[in-house]
Amino acid sequence: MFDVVIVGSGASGVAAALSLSKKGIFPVLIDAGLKPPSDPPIEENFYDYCERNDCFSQVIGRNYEGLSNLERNRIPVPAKLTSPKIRFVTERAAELSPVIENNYNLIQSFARGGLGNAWGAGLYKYTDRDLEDFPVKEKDLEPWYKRLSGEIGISGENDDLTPYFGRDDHLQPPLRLSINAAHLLKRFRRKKSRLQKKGVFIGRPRLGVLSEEKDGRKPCDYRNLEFWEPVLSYIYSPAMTLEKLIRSNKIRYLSGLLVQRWDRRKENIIVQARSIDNGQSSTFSCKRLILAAGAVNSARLALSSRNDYRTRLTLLDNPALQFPLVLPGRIGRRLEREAFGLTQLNMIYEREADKKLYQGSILEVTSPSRAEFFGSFPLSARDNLKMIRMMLPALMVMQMFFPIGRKEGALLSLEESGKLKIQGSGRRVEDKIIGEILKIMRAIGAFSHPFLVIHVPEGHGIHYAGTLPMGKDPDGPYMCETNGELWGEPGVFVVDGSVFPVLPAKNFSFAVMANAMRIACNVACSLKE
Amino acid sequence: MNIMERIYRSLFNKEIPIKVRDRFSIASGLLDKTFLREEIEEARQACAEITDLEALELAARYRNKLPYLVHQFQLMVRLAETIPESRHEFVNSKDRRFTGVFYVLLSGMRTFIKLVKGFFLLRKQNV
Repeated sequence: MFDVVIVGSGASGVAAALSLSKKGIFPVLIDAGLKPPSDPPIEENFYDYCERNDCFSQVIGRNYEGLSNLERNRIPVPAKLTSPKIRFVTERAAELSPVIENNYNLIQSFARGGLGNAWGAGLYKYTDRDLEDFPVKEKDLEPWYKRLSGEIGISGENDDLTPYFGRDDHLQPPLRLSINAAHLLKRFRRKKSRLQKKGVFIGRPRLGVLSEEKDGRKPCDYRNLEFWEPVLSYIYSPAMTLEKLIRSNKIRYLSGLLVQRWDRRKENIIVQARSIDNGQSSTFSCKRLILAAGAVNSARLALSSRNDYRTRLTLLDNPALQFPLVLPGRIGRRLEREAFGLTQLNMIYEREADKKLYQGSILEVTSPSRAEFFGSFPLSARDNLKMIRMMLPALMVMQMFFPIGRKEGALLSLEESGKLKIQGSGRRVEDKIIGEILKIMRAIGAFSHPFLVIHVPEGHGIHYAGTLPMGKDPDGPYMCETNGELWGEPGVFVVDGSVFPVLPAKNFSFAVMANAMRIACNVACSLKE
Repeated sequence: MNIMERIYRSLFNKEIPIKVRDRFSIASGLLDKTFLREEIEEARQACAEITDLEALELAARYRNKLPYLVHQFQLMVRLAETIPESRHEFVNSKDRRFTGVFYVLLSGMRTFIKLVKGFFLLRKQNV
């Protein structure tokens, strides 16, 4: 009989475990727990390595697994998830959690640390403005933001984006900007007052990436390995906190298990799990169950535990667009080999027409394989190769996220076969917004064309939420109380993105983690009572 | 010269390195399973009768035709990038401001000519 069982080791599960352990409660964490391959890491700059060595096994993989995006009729997944050493993040997902997708493209993880092994490490506070439709306010999350900030180590700056990201006095200095990003930021600052009147704000991102040493973790060394190495000490991953908790005996970690459902026996909750290797069943009895399996799999557990094959739950994910941005002055320049290969800048667009906030992450593209861009240029094959050489040093990509409300979400249900079914909403970002954003980018010296803008397939925003939303007065079996407790299920708490009733345009990981800590702290208090 | 060698030559204008050739054969064997036999046959037949594969691939890409041929070009580029001898084709390691701009302009014109030729070839092939 355990006090607390947590399901899932992603960002929310680990944050909940951390919060419980600080209160002196040591939970059991049940997880599929797939691990990265143990191949030796690349010890030098990615470009230097590839110039001296055959990098086939690092880029394509010994079993040609890095070519999976080239399969016919396949909707390409983000390039990082096809990288031979990083693809463990989404491995076996189709087998462990089968889903029938209609106009939807789900990305699931059963890895130790979850999707946090391959994230962009953007960590943004939800402010009161973002939390308008939530039953909690910024002040409720603030203490947990602070604790997490101390645990993770966040780099960034209090700048023009502070009103949107919240003030943080414990930030590490921001990372060194790439030449392209520095050029954009300079152009923005020159035209700041005019652009700000139009609701455009550009500044440094808040990243779980170290610019200074912390707890034995080395700072970012700008080697462009972000797409190739699964463990880089400077990029925070929930797996790091998990390892720390395991080492200090603060949790009992049971990997290789997939939780199937829960039942009740008197006051106790009986968790049923099966081995992912041999299918053998096991049960765990606990006083409190914390669901942190992600919005999709926590919903699956809730539906299957009630044998409910009728209810359709709302599944949210931020709609997103990708804008390739060309800085003409950089065409033909030497490729910058020493850069941080992820987010360099953030843009907030406070749109006058609908009073909504949109957030863009402007990324450097030095880390992915160069050949990845071959199909992105509209020229002949040989000319596309020339473009890769001459144009890529001038290229950045902006990933723009859009907010989503409950009416715009996809629908998720459980089939009697045990498969989940997800029906996409078919939503599409208005073309008018694309034109406005391109105009803004032109003003800061970055050029693109609507023809080149990519509508990220529904589900590839990878911010899944909203299946078991929390509300002040929950009135249905698939809603949660403000304290995360599932309606009609005393002792079952939900701490992942499922409880978010809507999604603002911001990356939600930091808010999910802070909320998970808040709920777990309440769970600990209730146990002590 | 087989299709693989011709694709490599139209991309890099030189003979295909043994390593790339071997890997391409294996990768192609794995990925061919995801294509219909007719798609593969159609592309092979078109390649057998047409010399300018670059023009054919470009037009096919624009018209959503010959998916197997388009795919083979992408595969070749992915594999070629991994050997050190090809790295200079992908990474610009010197500042070439004017050459770069010149290439961009020239590439646009060259592509246009290839595209017109490619459309003509597609029509001739009745694809």
